[in-house]
Amino acid sequence: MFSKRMIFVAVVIILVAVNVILLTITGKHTQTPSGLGRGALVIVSPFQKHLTTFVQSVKDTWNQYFFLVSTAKENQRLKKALGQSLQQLNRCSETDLANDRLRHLLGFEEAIVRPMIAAQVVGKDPSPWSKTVIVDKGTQDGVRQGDPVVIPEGIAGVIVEASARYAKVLLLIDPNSAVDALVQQTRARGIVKGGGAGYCVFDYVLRKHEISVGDTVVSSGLDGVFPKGLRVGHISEIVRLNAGIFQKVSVTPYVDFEILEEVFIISEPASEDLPGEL
Amino acid sequence: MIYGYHLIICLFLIIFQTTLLVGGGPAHLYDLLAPFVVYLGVYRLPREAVPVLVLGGLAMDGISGGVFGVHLTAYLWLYVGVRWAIQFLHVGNVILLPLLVTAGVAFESLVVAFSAVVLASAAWPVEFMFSVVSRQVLWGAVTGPFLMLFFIRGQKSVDRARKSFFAEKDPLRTS
Repeated sequence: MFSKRMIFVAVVIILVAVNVILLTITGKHTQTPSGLGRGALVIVSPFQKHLTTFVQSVKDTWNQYFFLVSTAKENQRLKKALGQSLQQLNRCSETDLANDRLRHLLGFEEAIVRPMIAAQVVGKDPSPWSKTVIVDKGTQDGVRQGDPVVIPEGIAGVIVEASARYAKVLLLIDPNSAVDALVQQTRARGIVKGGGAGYCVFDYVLRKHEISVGDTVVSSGLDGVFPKGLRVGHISEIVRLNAGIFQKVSVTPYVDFEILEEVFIISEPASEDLPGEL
Repeated sequence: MIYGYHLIICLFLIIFQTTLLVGGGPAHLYDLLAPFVVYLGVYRLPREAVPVLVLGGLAMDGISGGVFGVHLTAYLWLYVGVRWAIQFLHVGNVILLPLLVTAGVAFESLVVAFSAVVLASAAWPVEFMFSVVSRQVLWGAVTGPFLMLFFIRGQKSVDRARKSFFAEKDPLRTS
């Protein structure tokens, strides 16, 4: 009744359909199924770490011995910047002390200080369609899925998967990333999502809020992942549409994701035993 | 021995493109495993190629942040496609082999791009697709055939080493 060719074509179509359905299901989750991704981290990442360490040591040697002239110039510039920073730090310390006194007077609770784990980036995703990196700290070091990842410039991303010694970080610029944020000056709230190509979009900012290009965007702390006040980026473009209640805002992250080498993972505070618990 | 060679090449390509190339390489480089899959499709039998494809695909999916299974899917279908194509293509030809490599890179890039634009939970804007894929195909067309030559040379060296090893072990077999 059916020719061999027809059966072959039908089998291929069914296989493709099943394949697409499976990919659609896995595509809805950022975490890989049943630890398969963790297996890959365990096997591949040690090699990545050794190669990265080797390349880094070669780079360091080059920078230390062959770029002394530019280093001297940079040293002068940095000394100047350090002087300015020290002045700023002094002002900040004063403000911090005043803040502590005022919080104490108002009866506010002390902000919980969460421990930070320093980690080195050992591998990056080669695909232009996903923005992830692999770092050399894992569950053995206290890293857990959902821990925020930062550098001094601002938010870098979030841990999406962790093996014993390595972890995968979803970067802020990946479309799967989202941070509940607000504009530092006007306190206009919205959600910063990765735009893919090195920028972010700031969604759900109401039209009534006055914001301008250059304003700093910080985390609001309301997403339960990122602590409040971490720098995200600055507003680079605003489009106020005639219709709709939101404005279209682009944010340029403070973090340069192309040269990301070391990061800090903000781990969960150690859970305290509640009275009455066994 | 040939399994070892394939696994080493596979691991080398993954580590090379996730550590060395991402720092100073071109912005939109293609997946270097695509020419390797084409090489496996042209020169290796399924029993030799499929285990390597599965392990390579799972490793790439594990360290990548994209849709899980997309690399595995792309490699297996690419392998099947190449096996089908070589039934009527004379791939020893100087022009056809580079064309096959370029087509393989294009297929792999399109599958991954499709997964990111259509299947991912937070889809990428479609306008990126053309520019990214076209650059990847261009890079694949320029460098893919050289990679292919590298794999073939490597395979010949492994075969020679294997033959000399067995010859030393059992001199009567060679005489």
